[in-house]
Amino acid sequence: MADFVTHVAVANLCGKATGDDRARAVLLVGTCLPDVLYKGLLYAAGSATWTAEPSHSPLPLVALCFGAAMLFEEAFRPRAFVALLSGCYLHVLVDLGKDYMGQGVILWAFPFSMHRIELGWYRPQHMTYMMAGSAVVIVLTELAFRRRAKVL
Amino acid sequence: MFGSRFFFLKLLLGFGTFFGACTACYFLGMEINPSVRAAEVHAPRFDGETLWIPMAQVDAVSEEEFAVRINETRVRVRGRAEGIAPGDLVEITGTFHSRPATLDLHRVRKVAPQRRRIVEVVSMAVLAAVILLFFRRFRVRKGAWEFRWPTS
Repeated sequence: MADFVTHVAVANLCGKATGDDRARAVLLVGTCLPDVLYKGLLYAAGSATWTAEPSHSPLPLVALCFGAAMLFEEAFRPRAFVALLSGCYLHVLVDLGKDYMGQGVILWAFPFSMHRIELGWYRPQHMTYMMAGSAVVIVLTELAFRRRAKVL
Repeated sequence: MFGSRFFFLKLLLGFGTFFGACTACYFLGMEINPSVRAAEVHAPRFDGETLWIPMAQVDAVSEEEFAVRINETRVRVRGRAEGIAPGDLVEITGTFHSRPATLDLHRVRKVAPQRRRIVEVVSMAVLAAVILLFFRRFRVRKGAWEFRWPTS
């Protein structure tokens, strides 16, 4: 799990670029969903860690986002689905960069394969620095898009 | 696909598939970074396998080996622990041997607990902000999330 600030900074930048405030709100929820589910299954349901791994797998997330998108009003469902799934995939991409000491936890092709991957670009120890950098990115994104809105 | 026809069936399909994947992972995915406790319980299966312990407290250190504690389980780790002292929190990978639980060290590195706590607290605040933003844009009406803005 990377910190939510980094996840939200990445999703916020992408969400702002879409120019749709409602889709952005759903995209931000989508980007938090994998970790909320993972921790929920782990602590609230008392599941084993490996039971919760589909929360970070691309295919099970399609099913989950489809179910979650159905909770929105009918006209918005396709956009809600795309926003939720994009948010989830951005989360998985950010987590993919983490260093799990070679024991990667992203089951990229589950349920067809149990193969796990990681890129090992950053360590959990780096999270506080990433968090600070991400907070700066959020502020810069807000400023840039407000300035753009004024110009337009 | 996103229409309201067979609404509950679609809802069940989405969420059911996801939680079905989690159930499948419970049976298929025990090899995904099991805890030392799980490795001990299923000892023949994990003897000689590489285990990843994301966080353990160093209990004792000697020249050629050290011991760590993970909750109530004490594990002997064979290998030099340079720069590590009793009381430190560490992340370890190693080859597991049962009876008694022992690891042949591959890699070890220190974990800073206070940094982890900062990340967790800030992440919770960010999650609350994301939920708040969502409720500024959507509200529950007629059994679905509807746009709050522009309000009708």
